[in-house]
Amino acid sequence: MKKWSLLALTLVSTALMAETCPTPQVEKCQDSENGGAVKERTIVTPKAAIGKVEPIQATEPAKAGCDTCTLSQNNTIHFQVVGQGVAPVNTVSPAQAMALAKRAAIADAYRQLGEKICGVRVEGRDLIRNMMISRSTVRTQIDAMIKNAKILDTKFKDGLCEVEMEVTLNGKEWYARLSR
Amino acid sequence: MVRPALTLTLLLAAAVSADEYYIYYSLTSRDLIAVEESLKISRAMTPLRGAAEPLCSFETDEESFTSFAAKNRMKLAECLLENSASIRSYSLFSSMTSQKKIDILTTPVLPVQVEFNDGLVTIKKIQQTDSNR
Repeated sequence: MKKWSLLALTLVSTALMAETCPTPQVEKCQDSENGGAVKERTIVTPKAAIGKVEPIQATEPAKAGCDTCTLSQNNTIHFQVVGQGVAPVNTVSPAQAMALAKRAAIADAYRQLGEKICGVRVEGRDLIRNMMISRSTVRTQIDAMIKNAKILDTKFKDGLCEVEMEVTLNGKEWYARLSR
Repeated sequence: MVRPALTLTLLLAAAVSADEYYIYYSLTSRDLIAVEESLKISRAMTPLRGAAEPLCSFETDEESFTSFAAKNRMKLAECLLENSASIRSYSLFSSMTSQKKIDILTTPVLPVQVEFNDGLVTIKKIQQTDSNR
């Protein structure tokens, strides 16, 4: 009884393998360089494992006439960011904590403005050891000069300070410099 | 006749006294927490020449700019930052998580003219050109 069940299992597994693995096609061809000897070449046609991929439909282009999207010589764009700052734990008074949180929020807002206007330098490093990623680090760096940024609003909530900041770029003045 | 005129001149000079300073502000924050801040003020050793452009003005009871700056550090910093600010930011992400973030906000060293007039302090930036430096 045990033998029969083992045989049945073997047959089922063979049938499954035949289904999943492509059947090799044997092609005979004559080798002209080797005195016309007949050579057998095995061609394995891989079975498509992934279904047919439909081409992605092109999305609609951005609406024409959007003046505030990109800077040009004739328009003015506003960059608005919200910087966040956290009050440190070891402060003398709540007022000091709030003041420090606001300072950190201002620095964060300037960082975001720098990111948007001047861009970010990104450096990535992967350390691969024994065919495996053992350490992956990404460093980002921003170096920007911002002029005439205005604080619009300041909010405090649960030890978090949020500073809303805005800067206006005039295309006449900045387009030539930023498009280099 | 001479004495009243001299007194009047001295009173006017006391009422509108303009001093010249160099100001520098720096702020370092680490992981969204301000860790270091410095506001440096130095009186100009030589007269600053150049066009003065109003930057900001505040009401105050203080009589000297240094004591005003010590008590209104944030107001002064905001005024300086609005004029011009340089931001340098460094972030490190390791194993897909944020490890460290440092923001350094500084203002360039700014030559200013400070006027005290009847409880109002007016700060004017001096635009120095290469020829009058």
